[in-house]
Amino acid sequence: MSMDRGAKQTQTTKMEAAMRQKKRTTWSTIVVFTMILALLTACGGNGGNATNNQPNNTNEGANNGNATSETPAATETPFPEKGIELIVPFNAGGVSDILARSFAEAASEIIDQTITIKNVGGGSGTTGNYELVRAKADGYTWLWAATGHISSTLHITPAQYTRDDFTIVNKAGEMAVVVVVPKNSPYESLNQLVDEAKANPGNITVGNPGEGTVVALLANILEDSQGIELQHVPYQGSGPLLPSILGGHIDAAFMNVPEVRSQIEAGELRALAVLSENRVDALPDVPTSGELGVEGVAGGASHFIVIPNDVPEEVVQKIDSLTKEVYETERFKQLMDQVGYQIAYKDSADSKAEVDAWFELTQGVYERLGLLQ
Amino acid sequence: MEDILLGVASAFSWVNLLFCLLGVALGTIVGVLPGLGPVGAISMLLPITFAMEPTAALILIAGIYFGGLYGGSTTSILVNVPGSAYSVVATFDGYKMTQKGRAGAALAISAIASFFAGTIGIILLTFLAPPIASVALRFGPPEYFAIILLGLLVLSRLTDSSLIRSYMLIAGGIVLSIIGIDQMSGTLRLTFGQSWLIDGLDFTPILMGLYGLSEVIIAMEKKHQKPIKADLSLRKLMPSKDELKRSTAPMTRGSFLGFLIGLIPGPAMILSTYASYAMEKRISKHPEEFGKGAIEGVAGPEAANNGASAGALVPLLSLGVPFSALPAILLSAFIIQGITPGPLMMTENPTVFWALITSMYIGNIMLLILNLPLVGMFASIARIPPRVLMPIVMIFCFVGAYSVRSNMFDVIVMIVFGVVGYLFRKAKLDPSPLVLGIILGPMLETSLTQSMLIFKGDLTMFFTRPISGTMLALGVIVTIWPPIYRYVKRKRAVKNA
Repeated sequence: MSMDRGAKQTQTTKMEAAMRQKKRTTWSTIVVFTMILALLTACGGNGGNATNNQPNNTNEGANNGNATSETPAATETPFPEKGIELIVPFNAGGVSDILARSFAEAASEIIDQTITIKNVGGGSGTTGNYELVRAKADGYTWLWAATGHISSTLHITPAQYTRDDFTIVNKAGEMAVVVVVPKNSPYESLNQLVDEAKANPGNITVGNPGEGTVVALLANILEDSQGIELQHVPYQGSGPLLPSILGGHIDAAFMNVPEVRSQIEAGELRALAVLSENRVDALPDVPTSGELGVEGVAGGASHFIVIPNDVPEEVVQKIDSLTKEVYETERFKQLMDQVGYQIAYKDSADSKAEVDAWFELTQGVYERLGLLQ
Repeated sequence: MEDILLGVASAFSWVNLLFCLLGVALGTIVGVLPGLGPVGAISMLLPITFAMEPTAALILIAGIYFGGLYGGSTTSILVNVPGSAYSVVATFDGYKMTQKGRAGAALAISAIASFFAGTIGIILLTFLAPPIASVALRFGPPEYFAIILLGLLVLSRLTDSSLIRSYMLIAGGIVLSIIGIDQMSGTLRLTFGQSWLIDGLDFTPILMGLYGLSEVIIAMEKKHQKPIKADLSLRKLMPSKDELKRSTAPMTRGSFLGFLIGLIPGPAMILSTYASYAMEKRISKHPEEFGKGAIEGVAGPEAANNGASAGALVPLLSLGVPFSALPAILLSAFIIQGITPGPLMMTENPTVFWALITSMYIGNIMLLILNLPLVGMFASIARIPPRVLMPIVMIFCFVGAYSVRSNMFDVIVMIVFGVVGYLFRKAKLDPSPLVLGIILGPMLETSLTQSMLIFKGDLTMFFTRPISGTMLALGVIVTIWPPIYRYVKRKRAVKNA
């Protein structure tokens, strides 16, 4: 009540002053508003942002390019002559995104051009992948691909491309999957867990970061290879899965090494086995499943550099050698070490073989789950 | 002890103070603009922090984290456009206050409540984090299910409309939230073979349509609308003594309530605002003022979401476990710096830890100093005549909806829900139960499915686990008590008559 009266009073007494002032405030506010809007459109609209801050290098690179193209008998194709766009088929902030950004950061030492990250999330990675398939085949659009959307995801998600619609240049590395149990769990080894599952089918609850993900598929593959039955409990990503396994609400969990390494080191979780061919640097004391006599359960999310088909062969070679150099930089090694990621270069043929093998392996699993499309 | 002092000293170094200021300023801007939230802003900035010194990088990012929550309710209060899900509640009474010419007071109390709750939250975080965190771990999927169900039962009473109508709207919201690829099973639901539905509906465009665009449509109906008269003298911009007095208790309750809810995984910040609003309305001596511009309805929820943001840091810092998207992006920032939050952080990087905590106190003070003068500028927006303001609001909604995922589909969703919101207003229906369904639906479903898998089909275990059992019992009481109470009262009234 008092506030209403107050407002009315000042209205009458300061009417004129207010009128004069009002016009000014109104317009200044509109200007500020518009400026903020413009800012928003500028930063939100492109959905990505330049990662390397090298305004000088860009010019230099262009000049070098001109110089070489003027000499007629250039033995080597000048590449890259302009900025490269690296599509990340996931939204910003996830593990794959961080890896790609780390790669772009390390690449600034090797590649004289800006690498722009473009996040195209959605469709479990298929939306961004399709964007690459449609891109110009000049070698300036790359995709930071993960195993799923270039192979097993195609079994279950309708996509507008096939596995033959893009070229894998090479493999950057992989995230191994580790089987963990809470610190007070009765299971001391993977074998004990398998034995229990054999004795009481479906009694052990095993969490995974989402059915159909590479990590969850490994749990299915373990079942198939050992002839056991687990009670799968899918979560929406590893974020919600972690507190559930820490709190002992489930018996075991399958997770990517980078996501649980610190919990294992702190003794909050016990790692039973890593599901990869070799031990991983991040967890040197944890045996592989193969060492424990559990064969045929190896895999994980690998990352590849993928480009459109029909990029000239010499450009593909150049991309291969440049990115390989990036993987070998101290900067990249250091960044990957912090994340707990395993750098593991494979050339185009070996990468393709790995992806194909995973595609074949998962087909049967999806079929059994009734998810095959 | 020496580490603590070193950390505090490091936070006060001029470089770190500068990064703290930069962080909170950026956060405020990001918070005010609808669409691109703190999560998006931090992930865009992550590459820049690669090259930075860890302490400075984390201080910068923590600044954005807290700053984003300060500005969040500005557009809700001024133009009825919630920039994010946790500022929907601010439209209930905040926008009504603006229409009454009290925009300044609403904005100021929201800044003060944010500061108040932020500080309380950080104090609790500093001293109680490890013991509280271990309690949080006792909550598994069955407990989440019980909490969400209890929340829906309590919050369905938030509106004045009939209970059946609320339940139906919640159900409708849950159905909308199902659309798209199911994260758990990987199957497609309600997409009708349309590829643009695979990723489902994002709730930010829905909120902008329901609240913002529908407001614009309503304004178009009215001829000659006079601008809201608001006095912009400093004395009138700030809350009056009476308003401050009315806000103190809601702010305090909101801070603690928010902090506790922040310990729950999932949409804790959103839940905290609704819970605080429901509580204030229940406790208030004049509940009829709620929804008509009660300052308690701004102060409580505004404190709650800041309390929740501090609470959400407890599991992150003491366990290394992010409970929602925002702490998850903070975790990424930590890992990139080679610092692993969690049980080992205090012993491995004590200086960084204490510098970060200290910077949170500093950042909160900076935010208050930064935000209070902005109140005047923002409040003057309320005086722009509707014929100028409303088109700007509309552009704001379009740009905001687009910038969430850089996707035209979201803009269409925003328009559709703008029309839906308009029809709701015409039918005098409150859309908030629908919003609750959309926001809480996925978690309700996920936790139920997980619980059933963990229980191997034995649903009685919901009641035998102490925490979930208690919550569900409360839910039953909340649901059946009011009708019984009414029945008894009527019986008595009949007897007396």
